[in-house]
Amino acid sequence: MGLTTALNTAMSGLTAAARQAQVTSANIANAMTEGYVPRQIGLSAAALGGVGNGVRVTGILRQGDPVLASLTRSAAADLAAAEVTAQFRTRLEAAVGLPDSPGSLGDQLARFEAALVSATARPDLQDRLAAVGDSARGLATTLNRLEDAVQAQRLDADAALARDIGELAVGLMRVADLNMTIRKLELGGQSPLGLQDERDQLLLSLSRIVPLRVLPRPDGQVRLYSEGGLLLLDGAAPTIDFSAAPGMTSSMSLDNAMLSGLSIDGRAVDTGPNGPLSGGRLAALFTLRDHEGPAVQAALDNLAADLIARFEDPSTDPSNAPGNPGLFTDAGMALAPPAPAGLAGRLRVTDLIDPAAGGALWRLRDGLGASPGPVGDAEQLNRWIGALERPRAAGPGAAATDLAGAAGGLLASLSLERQRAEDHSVYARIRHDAVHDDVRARGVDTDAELQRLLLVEQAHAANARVIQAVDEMLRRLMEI
Amino acid sequence: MTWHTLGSLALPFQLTRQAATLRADLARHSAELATGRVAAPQRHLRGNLAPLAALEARQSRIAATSAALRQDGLRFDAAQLAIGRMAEIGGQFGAQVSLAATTGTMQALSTSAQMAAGALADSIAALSVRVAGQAVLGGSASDRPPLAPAQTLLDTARAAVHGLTSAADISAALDAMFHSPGGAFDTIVNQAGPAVPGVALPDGSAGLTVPTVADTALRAHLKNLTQAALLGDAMPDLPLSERTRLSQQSAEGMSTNAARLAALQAVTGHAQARIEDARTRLRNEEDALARARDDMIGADPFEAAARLEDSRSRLEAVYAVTARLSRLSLLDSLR
Repeated sequence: MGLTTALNTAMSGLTAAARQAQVTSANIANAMTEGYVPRQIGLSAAALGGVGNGVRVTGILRQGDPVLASLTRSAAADLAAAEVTAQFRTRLEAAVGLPDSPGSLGDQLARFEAALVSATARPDLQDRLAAVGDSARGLATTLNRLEDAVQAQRLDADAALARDIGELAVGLMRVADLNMTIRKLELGGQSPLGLQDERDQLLLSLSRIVPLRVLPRPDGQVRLYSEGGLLLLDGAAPTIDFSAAPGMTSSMSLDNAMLSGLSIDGRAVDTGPNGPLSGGRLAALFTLRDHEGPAVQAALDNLAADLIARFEDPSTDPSNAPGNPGLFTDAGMALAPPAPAGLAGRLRVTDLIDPAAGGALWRLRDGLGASPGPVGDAEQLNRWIGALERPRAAGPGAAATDLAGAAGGLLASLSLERQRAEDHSVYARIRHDAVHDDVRARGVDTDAELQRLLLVEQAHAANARVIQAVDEMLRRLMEI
Repeated sequence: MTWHTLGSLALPFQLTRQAATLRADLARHSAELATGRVAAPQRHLRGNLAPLAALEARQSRIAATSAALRQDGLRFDAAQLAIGRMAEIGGQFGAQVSLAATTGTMQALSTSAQMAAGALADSIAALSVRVAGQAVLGGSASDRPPLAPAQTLLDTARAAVHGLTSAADISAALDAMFHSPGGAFDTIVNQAGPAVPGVALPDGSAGLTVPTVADTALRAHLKNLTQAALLGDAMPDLPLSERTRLSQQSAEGMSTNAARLAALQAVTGHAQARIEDARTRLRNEEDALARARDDMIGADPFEAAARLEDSRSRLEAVYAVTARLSRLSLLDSLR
């Protein structure tokens, strides 16, 4: 009786050793897998009627750490959002350009001013007047180009939103599928560990879009909330609606319904900076498209309005009747405050000084509304320079600066925002790396697995020896 | 049984990250060493670009103003030479006409008249000097000669003194022609425009004005020469005594005008000095701005080289550690 029991016990030992080897080999095979949680085998002494009867495999455990997982998700969300903002700000700053780089806003303005000074020295030379016209057009084109850059960023954000929302919808459906499958496996007594790994990775990648809070439900399911408290998944996946914009101009915004907002299961969701979906890439992209982008556009429009107003001022060109467009125009017309958004893109130089468009260069020297005068008279040119140098406050409470100061101020404010976004992105990256270092530290340790394998080999050999010995003993009994 | 484990991916990832950071540092320091300024000024200044932008704008403006001042200086130099020539002519002419007047013969007077006509043509040519295609003394009408040709001037003068018989009358008529506003000089002979200021000086004062041919001293000079040149004409009603008196008055007028011409030269010389002064000040300001710019975003080459060397040695240390640790594994010891 004892011998048979011993045989059975040794068999159970062999089985346990074999299962342990299986788990160890799975761990070592996944040593390089990102996000793989090492499996461990749970063993306990089998009892039958209070008497020990071998070893029982209680299950394969997956030592996940829910706190670490939620830290990982939150760090991933923060990093994704910070990177979106930092990239936007860096691209804008690069579009405006550093003061000494050719083609930058500051450089174009300096060229315009230098052309004017050079023309005052020789107002009789046509090429100097032509240089004034060309540099003025260069300045207008630079502001046009900057508006294009801002709107292109907004359009990219809109397209990225469409992609991310599509990914979120598909991801939530997949999580719902996995929920059901895991539940079935658990109820059937099978191990759903691989699917749990897959679900965790999916939740991490969805957290980059919207930071998720994961609440475990019975039978291995999960319920998903956004960190802002919006229910995203409870059973069936929701329907998410968003339509991408075909193009982007400065007049399009969420408020006038030309741009699409977000609706989940038919209900509109607030996509503002403090909305329920904030914290991840989705909120960052909405903020970029709906708040930060238009704010930069407004700053550009202010600069364009300043430029136009300086040259429309009656003291700048006495020959030009008040109410007529000046040297710089809003698409050919005078400035009519409040100008609609997009003034920077509509900024043009008047055709009156462009020989290719029916104008004449002498108007730069004599005034837009005057008739040709003596060729050596540089007084009007000095007045153009005066218009650039006149201190003018951008708004109430702002310091009065010349136009170069206003352009420098625009660059400085963009650069400060870029620095702030970069600092935040660096901090998010450090936090993300620290959390991931922790995750990796909990990954597969091949040294430990090999040591366990040594013990498994010994245990297997020992159990096999026991079986051999019991077999010997039984045979001797048979030989009696 | 709980085991103390450390994932095998932890250390390699850390080393990779450190190596990547050090390589980026290496690239940045070599760029700084090569260019002499920091690799990303906007990050070095932490976004505070307003002072740098103002500095760059000022540097560009200084360059343009310096070039314009240099051209203004050339104009003043040419004007000074022209006025100097007037003073020369005045001195020579005064002596010769005075001599002719003392002699008192018709022959002497007609010779001096011829010399006066020649001096008049000479003066008009000198006053019509052009620099780089611009008439220097022409005011705002710098594309035209500032004065009509000598023949036109003489014809106009003849018309003004036609039929007059006394020296006093002729002198008064010529005075009216040359000096009264709206007279024949202003309407027919003077083709210059009003004087225009040059480029504004960096200290904020208005641009300096080159004198035009309408200046009083130059008018008087031309009047005296014309007066003497007319004496070569037939003028049957004019007795010899009156001619002699006219000739004398021309010579006296010339010597009186010398003081006025000297004053004009002094004013022009003063303007030249101020332009030179302004250019020097601009050069100094440019130097100061270049130093300030270096201060803001310059990279000292010795410091940059030291930091480069530091990064390089740290990168080598990381590589050595990576190589050593990659050989350290239980698997190798179990074989």
